[in-house]
Amino acid sequence: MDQGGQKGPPVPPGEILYRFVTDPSFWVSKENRPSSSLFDDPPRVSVNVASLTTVDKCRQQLVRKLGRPKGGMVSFNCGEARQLGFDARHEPEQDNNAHAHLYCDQDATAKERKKNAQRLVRRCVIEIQPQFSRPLLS
Amino acid sequence: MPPTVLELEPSSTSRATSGYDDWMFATPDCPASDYARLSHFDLTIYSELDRLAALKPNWDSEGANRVKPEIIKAARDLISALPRSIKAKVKVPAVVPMRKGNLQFEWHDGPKTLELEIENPAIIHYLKWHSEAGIEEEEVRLIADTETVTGLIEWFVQG
Repeated sequence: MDQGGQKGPPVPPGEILYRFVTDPSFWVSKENRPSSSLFDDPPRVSVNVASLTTVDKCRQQLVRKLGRPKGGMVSFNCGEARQLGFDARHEPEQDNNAHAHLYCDQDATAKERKKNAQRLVRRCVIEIQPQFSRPLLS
Repeated sequence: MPPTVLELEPSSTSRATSGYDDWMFATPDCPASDYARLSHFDLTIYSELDRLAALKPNWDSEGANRVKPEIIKAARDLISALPRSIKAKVKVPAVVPMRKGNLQFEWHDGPKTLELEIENPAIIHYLKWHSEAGIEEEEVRLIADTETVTGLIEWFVQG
């Protein structure tokens, strides 16, 4: 969980962002949606900028780079996330120009952080359906 | 060869006086005694906590920390402290590891969600959420405040 130093440029608000779901823990199977823990993770999580990649490329990344063939991917609007206190910055990686970080609001009080994550997961759209075989409880 | 005869005082072999029950049912570090008394709710959650405790760093392939042992212990203690009556009423929650090394219990039922995050061994951070009823409550409490935790679970069951 490298926290890095200087932030990259802001991702424009009209962009769509992709977030991988790599572990069953992040997925509420019976409701077929992400858990807020997918985003409730200061200081930041990795995302991809949709206009700089494709769903197919992301699928390959999920399988080949991350080794999660049963994992999934959700999308959400960058501007909406920013309104909820998340700040997306384009921070490419050596082998992935689409990579960005979604910074959680470090100033969010203890009364806002989980609400913001919950609001964001409820806005997510499934791009790659997770195929986890071990459903979690509840 | 004559059989060996053990000459023992009755008090040393009587269940009532031998201390067997103290060992079997009250020794906190004895797994056998623990598991003999546990409900389905307890057993399922403890099993999940064991699973989380065994997670290695980078368990999500994105650099997650392993779940801290003190968080596992605090979660176990919290579950242990809940009244049996509430455990009998509520379904077993998802036990969710978090990338920073914490964990949370999650209950979901459509628009209704309850999250209890063990933020550190002394603090619980909860979210009580019902989108259709307009409930969005987030607070931090001492983990020892079992009454509040029980009240939150009651809300999920009945709300």
